[in-house]
Amino acid sequence: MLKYLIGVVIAAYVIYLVYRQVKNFKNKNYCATCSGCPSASSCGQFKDDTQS
Amino acid sequence: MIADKKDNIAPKRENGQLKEELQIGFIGNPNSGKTTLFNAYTGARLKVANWPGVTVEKKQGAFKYHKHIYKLVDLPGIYSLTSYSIEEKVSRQYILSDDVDVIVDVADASNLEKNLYLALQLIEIGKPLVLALNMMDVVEERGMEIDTHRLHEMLAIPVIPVSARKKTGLDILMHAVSHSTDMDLKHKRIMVYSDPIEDKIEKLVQRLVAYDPAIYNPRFFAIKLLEQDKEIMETYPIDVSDIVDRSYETDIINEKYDFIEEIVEETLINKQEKEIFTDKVDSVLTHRIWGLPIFFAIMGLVFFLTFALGNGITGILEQWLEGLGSWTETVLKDLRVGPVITSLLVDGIIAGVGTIVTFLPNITILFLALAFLEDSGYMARISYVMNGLMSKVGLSGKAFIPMLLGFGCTVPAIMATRTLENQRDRIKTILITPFMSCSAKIPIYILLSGLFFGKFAPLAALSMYVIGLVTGLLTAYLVNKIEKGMDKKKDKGRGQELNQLLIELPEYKTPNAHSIFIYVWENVKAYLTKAGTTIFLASVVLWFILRFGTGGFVEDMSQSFGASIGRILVPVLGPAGLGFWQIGLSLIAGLAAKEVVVSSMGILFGIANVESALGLSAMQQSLAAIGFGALNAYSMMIFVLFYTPCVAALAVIGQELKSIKWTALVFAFQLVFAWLASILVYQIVGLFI
Repeated sequence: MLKYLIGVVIAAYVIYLVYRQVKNFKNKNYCATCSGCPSASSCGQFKDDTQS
Repeated sequence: MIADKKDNIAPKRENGQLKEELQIGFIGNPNSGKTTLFNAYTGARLKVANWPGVTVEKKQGAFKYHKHIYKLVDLPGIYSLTSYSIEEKVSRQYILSDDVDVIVDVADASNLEKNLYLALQLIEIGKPLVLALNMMDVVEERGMEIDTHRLHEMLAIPVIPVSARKKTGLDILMHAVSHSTDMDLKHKRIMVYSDPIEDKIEKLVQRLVAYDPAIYNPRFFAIKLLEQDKEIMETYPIDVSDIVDRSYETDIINEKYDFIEEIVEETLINKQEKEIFTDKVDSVLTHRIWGLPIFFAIMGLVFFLTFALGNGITGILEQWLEGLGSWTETVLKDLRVGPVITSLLVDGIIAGVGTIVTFLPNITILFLALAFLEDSGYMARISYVMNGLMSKVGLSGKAFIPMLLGFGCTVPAIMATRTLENQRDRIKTILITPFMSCSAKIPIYILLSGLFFGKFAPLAALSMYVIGLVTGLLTAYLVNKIEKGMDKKKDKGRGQELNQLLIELPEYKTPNAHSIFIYVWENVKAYLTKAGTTIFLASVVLWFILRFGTGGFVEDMSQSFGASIGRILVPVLGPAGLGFWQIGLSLIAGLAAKEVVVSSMGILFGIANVESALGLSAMQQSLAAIGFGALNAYSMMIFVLFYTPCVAALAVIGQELKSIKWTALVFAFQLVFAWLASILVYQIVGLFI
């Protein structure tokens, strides 16, 4: 029982990560996180420019 | 687009009383200390950097001042309120909107002449404004004095001396802000232009008021129309061709600076400065000949510290990680969870993610060193030092800024190529930026050089940066030569293109501990977040393809799907000394994120804590067992240096180039280049050892 639970939890987290990555790519957010990135705030700007 | 011209931008009151909640916009020149001042009030974690435009989006924070809630907005560093750059547009949009109650112009008091231009433009807008004279401590150190009372008289706005670094004057500044909400600047004529200009302004004001009677400050918009500001002309599409026969921008700028000269003459005492510390240091660090070698020496020291100190403090982390794997295995076996789940957790997740986490001390030391260099003001000099070299290879000095960003991450570096107006320069820079070793490759260099190069490990790691930079420049040079040849054949000249590097070199200063802490913490957080997301995902996927084969779950990884995939590459990578299915698979996995190469090797060789003495020794033995030695390791480092960047970077390249053909070309170019370079290194060096 426990092994199925652990497996389901890991699988759910993996599916969530894949979903999040696909969603980010579709929104032109290509990085895992903006924190520490020198161009973090430019992301939105460039996104706007490509969409305008 | 500019704020709707119908917006009422008068100061805010509620029922005749001053609002308890104020929106305050912090604006100022880059490097004026605006963000440091913002942080001093809000404690917000904003990075203080020396490149203009590092904060394009407005950052918001709030703090309580005498029972009032003050909301602060940190606007991008700008030199003026024209609309040439995204930063200027964003700032101007915000200031002209209904969202701001008071503007605080943060000026570098030690550089008053340059900072007053923006102040004069802000005064012309007519909204409540306070001038914060920052860096007063620097003014005192230089033996200068500013007559703030006279400055206040000449500008007709509160002038508050502050020092964001030493946190002085902050209360007085907020006191001035709280009492400035009903300031009316729009009827004050602080900046008076020459008669012809004033005459035109007056006529334009009449036309504007006729077009829009509710316009808040027609004088400001009239001046902008006279400058032929595109955004303002679109917002107020009135025919003014009889008044604005040409752009008067240069005239207006010159007259503003004439006035600024008068102001400085009257308010700045003891202008003759002692020889500044910055100039003395710059005469060495940005020396025409020695600047570049000094830069490489400093980076060498950074790497030495990364290895020496980083390895020295992994003790606590090692013990914890060593215990985690075996404890987890024991517990899961006791709970009879089964071999598959146990393997997934221990050999997959803990081995994969744990391997990356063990590099945290090294990464932290590296970021600490870089933060120190950046906050001291040295990093801004690197673009200047490189500028001469860049022009020799046919690249504009501006092209080095994306390349410099590439040392952190290729994604923002590729985005930053937008600052290059010339499309050819952009493509060239996009082509060579991935040659700059991003921070994700650092764990690979640390692992391989630590395993095989002993006391020369820092040198081996540093050589990757030097080789990447030199190769990038040589590539740009060759491409430039080819271009010129092709242009000659087509009888087409490139023409004189002005793409000069204009960068402000800030004063050297003692790094601020708070700023350094925030910088390091943000990067460490990003590193750990990536470990818990991208690396986690890649580790699970990799575990799956390494633990399952055609017959289901396999104990021997050489029977897995992963091994089959890796074996396809063995004959291809063989000439480069990388003909091992484990290495091939690791390199494929590195497309997800470069750190995954290391976590893959941790999973492949069953070692979670490669940074521990035991882990290193085990990894060495495992690699030696398959015939992988020092030369193979260096060849792998070369391959990793040059080969295709991660999928995120590839996606951004595709977005920026807007061409699948060019993206595929970049992908293929880098892959083939990496392959050829590593073959060259392995085969030629192999002749001598």
